[in-house]
Amino acid sequence: MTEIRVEGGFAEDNDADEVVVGEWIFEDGAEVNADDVIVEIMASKVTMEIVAPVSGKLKIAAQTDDLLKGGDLIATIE
Amino acid sequence: MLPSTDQQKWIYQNMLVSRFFEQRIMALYMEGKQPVFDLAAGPLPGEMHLSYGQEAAVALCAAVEEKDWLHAGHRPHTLAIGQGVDLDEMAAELLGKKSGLSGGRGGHMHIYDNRVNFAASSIIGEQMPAAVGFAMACRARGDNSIAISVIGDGAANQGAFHEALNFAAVQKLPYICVIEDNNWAVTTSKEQSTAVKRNSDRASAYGIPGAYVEGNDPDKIYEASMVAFEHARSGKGPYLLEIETIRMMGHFHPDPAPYISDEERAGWVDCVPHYAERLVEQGVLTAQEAEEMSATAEAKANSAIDAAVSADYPQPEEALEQVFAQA
Amino acid sequence: MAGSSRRLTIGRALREAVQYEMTNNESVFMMGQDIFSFGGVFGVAEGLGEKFGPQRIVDTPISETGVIGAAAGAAMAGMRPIVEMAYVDFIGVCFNAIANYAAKTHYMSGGQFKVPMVLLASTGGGYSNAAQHSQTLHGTLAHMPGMKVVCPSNAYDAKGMMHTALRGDDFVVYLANIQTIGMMMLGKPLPGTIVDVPKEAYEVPFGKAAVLREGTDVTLVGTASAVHDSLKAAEELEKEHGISAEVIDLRSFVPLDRETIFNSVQKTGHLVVSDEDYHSYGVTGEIVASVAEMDPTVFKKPPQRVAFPDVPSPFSRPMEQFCLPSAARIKQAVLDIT
Repeated sequence: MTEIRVEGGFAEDNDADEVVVGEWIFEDGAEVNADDVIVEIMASKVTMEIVAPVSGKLKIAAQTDDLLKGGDLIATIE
Repeated sequence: MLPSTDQQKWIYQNMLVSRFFEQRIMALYMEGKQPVFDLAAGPLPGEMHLSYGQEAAVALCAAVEEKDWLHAGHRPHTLAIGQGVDLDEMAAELLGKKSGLSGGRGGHMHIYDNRVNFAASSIIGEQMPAAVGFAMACRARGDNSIAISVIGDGAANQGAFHEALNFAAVQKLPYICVIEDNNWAVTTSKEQSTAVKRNSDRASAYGIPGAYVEGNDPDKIYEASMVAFEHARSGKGPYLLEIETIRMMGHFHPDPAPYISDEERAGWVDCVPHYAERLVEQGVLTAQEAEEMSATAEAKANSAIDAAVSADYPQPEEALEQVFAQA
Repeated sequence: MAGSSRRLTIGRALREAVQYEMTNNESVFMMGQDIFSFGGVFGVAEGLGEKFGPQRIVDTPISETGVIGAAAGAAMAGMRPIVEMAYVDFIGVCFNAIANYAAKTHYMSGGQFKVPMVLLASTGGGYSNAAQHSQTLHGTLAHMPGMKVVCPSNAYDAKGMMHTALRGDDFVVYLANIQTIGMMMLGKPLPGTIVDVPKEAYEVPFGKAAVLREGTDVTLVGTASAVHDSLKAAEELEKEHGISAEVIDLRSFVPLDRETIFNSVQKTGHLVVSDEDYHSYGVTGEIVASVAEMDPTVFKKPPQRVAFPDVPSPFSRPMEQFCLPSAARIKQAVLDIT
């Protein structure tokens, strides 16, 4: 199982140290390929695309509009 | 000729007012826009283009006379302050309040104050032909007044640049085109978009004089402006004046400008504290006086912003008014 | 097989279509301001500069007349350019190149020169960007002969219509409302815009309106953002008043699907047209006139128009909100005639 977490360090460029989970591109349980963009997360100055590091089944761990901090779990791929 | 000490103090005072004003604007702008950035949200919605780092341009306003006209673009704050636009009403306009310059209709990118012959609007380059028109009226009045348009380096690639300068030159109008060269048009550098190294070199294409002022230096800007304005006032026709400056806060707030290299940033000198240092060094101001000017400017900016924050919005239906002068 | 269900924003869907066409057709290239490294204001060109290089993703100076004129010429000479114009308001700067040159060359040359170019622009306001950066201009563009004018309201249509635009031989003005695209600067796009989008290429034809919701009592025709307002109004009308509204997404101004609209009004007898463009001399008037021309007796009550009043877009939030179409205004228009 591969974990996908929010990277730290974005806080340097942003006024808040939180990010907001945007739209999920795939549904919970969907099969994804490595390099597929799976979700966007938004901070005050940047929008980051989160890409699946491996292929497999997506398990969503944070919902759209959830506030996350660096290190928080976004999803896992099995 | 360089500015007198009184003029230097005037210039510095206005640079300070602009700086403090924009610092309040920056903070107010980000209210309501976090953690997810949404232009529509907060007390100051829409786009915001700061003059931060470009305050030295106000020195050209020290050479402007009351009868002269000035048209700016989408980055108008410092120039508006230099031209004498009512600061309280400008702050109210930025917040979309009824007591704003345009009753809330224009906002940050459309600042007008007909009491001081100032206009600013947001389509790149449109201020040039308009200022040429102002110059036609100046000529008709016969009072040696002039009209100035202030554009950025990016706007010099607009067709209107060519047309405005050519037409003004043919007509020998008292028109000054000032270019604030901050090297960037949103994320595109001048080198990437412009076929010549300096836009002031394009003056020869119109048979008019062009000058380039280096260093974001208020005293040099004033000096060059006086030469340019004198040229126009004496009936010799238009003048192209380019001033080097630094856009320190990105194209719009809060653009972190990742496309500007660390190398370029390392060369930046903030003109506001730099001018203060010079004035104290030259004995124009004591350190104490500089502090007092700072406090005065900050108080003025705060007063304008605070009043704007608590001012009333217009009624929604007022949107339908002021389309025409006569129904 | 991976990727069974995949939801995209309009911006992303456009990028997918553009990237596919550029990969499969060397003559397709893109011009615009800040597109090479920045990806443009919609993010349509994001990552494409790296993939295709500066001769196919061309950063331009601020020179709309020059650039759009050049796009028309390149198209006439066998290429397939996309020009990105951040805000539709800027057509004012280069209207000749668009309406007199690009749009009319096929006709004036008796069909000798095709002009297969796409002009991509954002429309609309609602976020205090004031009079010169908030316009919609559907009517202005649709009014001039020689350009196909389209505007999707969701990501599925967006991708399909972009494929159609890039494969066709005509000059297409491809509009997208700024609240629907999913631009970083405007928070989240309108929720109804994000829908399932197939990974493979497909086409959505022009000239076909989409019935998004079937109903029997009133026809709501909407464009772009007003489609979503209409859908919301329809839901509320059903729940609160038991009124059954049929919602049609116009999505193609030129060519215009008058048939679908007429058939709907024939069924319901009541019409409300909503469009974020100015009220007079535009899209809403065209729809009403089209139905009336075909048979005015289908109207059981006078048709209603919900549009932006004939005023420049005001900066101040309460004034701007007053002017914009909304689900509330559409609902009220329906209640006024049922």
